[in-house]
Amino acid sequence: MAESKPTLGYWKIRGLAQPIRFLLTYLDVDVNEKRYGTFEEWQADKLNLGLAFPNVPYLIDGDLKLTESRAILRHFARDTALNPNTADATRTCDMLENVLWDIWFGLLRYCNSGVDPMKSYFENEIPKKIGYLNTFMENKKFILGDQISYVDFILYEILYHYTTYSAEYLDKYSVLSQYKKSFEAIPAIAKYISSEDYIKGPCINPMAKIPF
Amino acid sequence: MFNPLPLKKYQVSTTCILIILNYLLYCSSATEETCTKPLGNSVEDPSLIKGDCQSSGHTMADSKPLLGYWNIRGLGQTVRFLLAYLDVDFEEKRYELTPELTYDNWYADKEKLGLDFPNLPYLFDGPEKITETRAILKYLSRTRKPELLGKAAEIATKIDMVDNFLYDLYYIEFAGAVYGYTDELAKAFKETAAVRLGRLSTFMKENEWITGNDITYVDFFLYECLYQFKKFDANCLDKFPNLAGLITRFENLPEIKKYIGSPKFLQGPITLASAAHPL
Repeated sequence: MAESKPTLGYWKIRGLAQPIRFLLTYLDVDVNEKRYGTFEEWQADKLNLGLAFPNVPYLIDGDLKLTESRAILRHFARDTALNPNTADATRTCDMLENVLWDIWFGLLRYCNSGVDPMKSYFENEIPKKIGYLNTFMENKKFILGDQISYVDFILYEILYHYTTYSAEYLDKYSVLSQYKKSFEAIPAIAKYISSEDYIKGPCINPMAKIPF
Repeated sequence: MFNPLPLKKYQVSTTCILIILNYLLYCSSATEETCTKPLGNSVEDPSLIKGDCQSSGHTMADSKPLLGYWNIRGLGQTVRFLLAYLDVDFEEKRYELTPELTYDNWYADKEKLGLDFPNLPYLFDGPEKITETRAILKYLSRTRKPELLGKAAEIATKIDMVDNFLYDLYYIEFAGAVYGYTDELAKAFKETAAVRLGRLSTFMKENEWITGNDITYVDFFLYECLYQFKKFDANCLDKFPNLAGLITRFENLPEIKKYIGSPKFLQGPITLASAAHPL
């Protein structure tokens, strides 16, 4: 009997699911995607899927019902080449995962609200953090150096978000700018980008104060 | 977590702007703070505090791990509890706000510690220098007691889910309420907490800890969240006896009980004094 495929549910945007989509493509893992176009569509499903903490993105795979995008990403990465396999690498991935999330949400929360205090935080504090990141990535192909890991999928999507928000945003950060281009050239990634399934945009909720 | 809902929830009155900005800075600990004199009056055991604030010279020769954080519970408390649970003899550097309630105290150290992503809390452990609270919790678990990361992949996945779920509740909803306190934000937190604590309670079922009958690092995070939420809203766990039970169970763990009774233990405050609703 054919196994049913896992289902990944999220909005019809890139958002927090995009790193998962890229990772699944890279690992050649086949899933069904349920892409919600409206709030009402999601509300109809939200409390009926058996999710402990109903939210999108979600992953349903037999008995496994998982939410939280980072948990889903880490779940798929486990026991694959995208998982760190040394103590040093694990420590780095854990730290970067959190640093990157901070940087991402600096942009997301600002664009959702459009006003202070998120605005001041985005304008004053985020550039410092991206500066640290740019320095950290010098002379590195990926976050772990030569080895790609699941955290690179988060990093790439953040850079895509930032440059969609403002095309020149990475001009000051040459290392990150180059990283973005290199990631897009990875064969599995490039192939996905040119496929029908691929969502070019929007990055975030079209109803946001500053949509992009 | 991202959810394209009507955005009323994110609008805050202009009077809260600076206060909430303070909170965001606190959450990221991006601001810097020059350390004041040794924090003798708030810590009974000043020998724990490593040197004066000008010295960031913790060397590899120092055998004790060093935790740097504000002189509050905040996020750092979870790490303190875990270190105590693991029976680690650790030192602390506790940063204070200036009398003007600025973050100048951390700035004197911030760029001088050799941190790739300067932030609070930070942990020095031998040659390792780590930031990001959850990365520190996982590192300590991995190096001292790996079962705290989950004895099986299935548990590790549950931990990830609870960890991230709690993170949003704490950093966005709760911190937003205490740092940018308005009646509106307080009410929003109480309503959100009622739903989300309910989900945690249902998820926990009859288990002793949140992912089962074995304690994991996320129980340390959960404990501290529940403790702080109760300070803000004393009745928030009334409907969830299993979560209230987790608080009691945690406080009665022998290593934790001993730590709470020790002079090193920081009872409070929970927040920085710059919070709109200091706890």
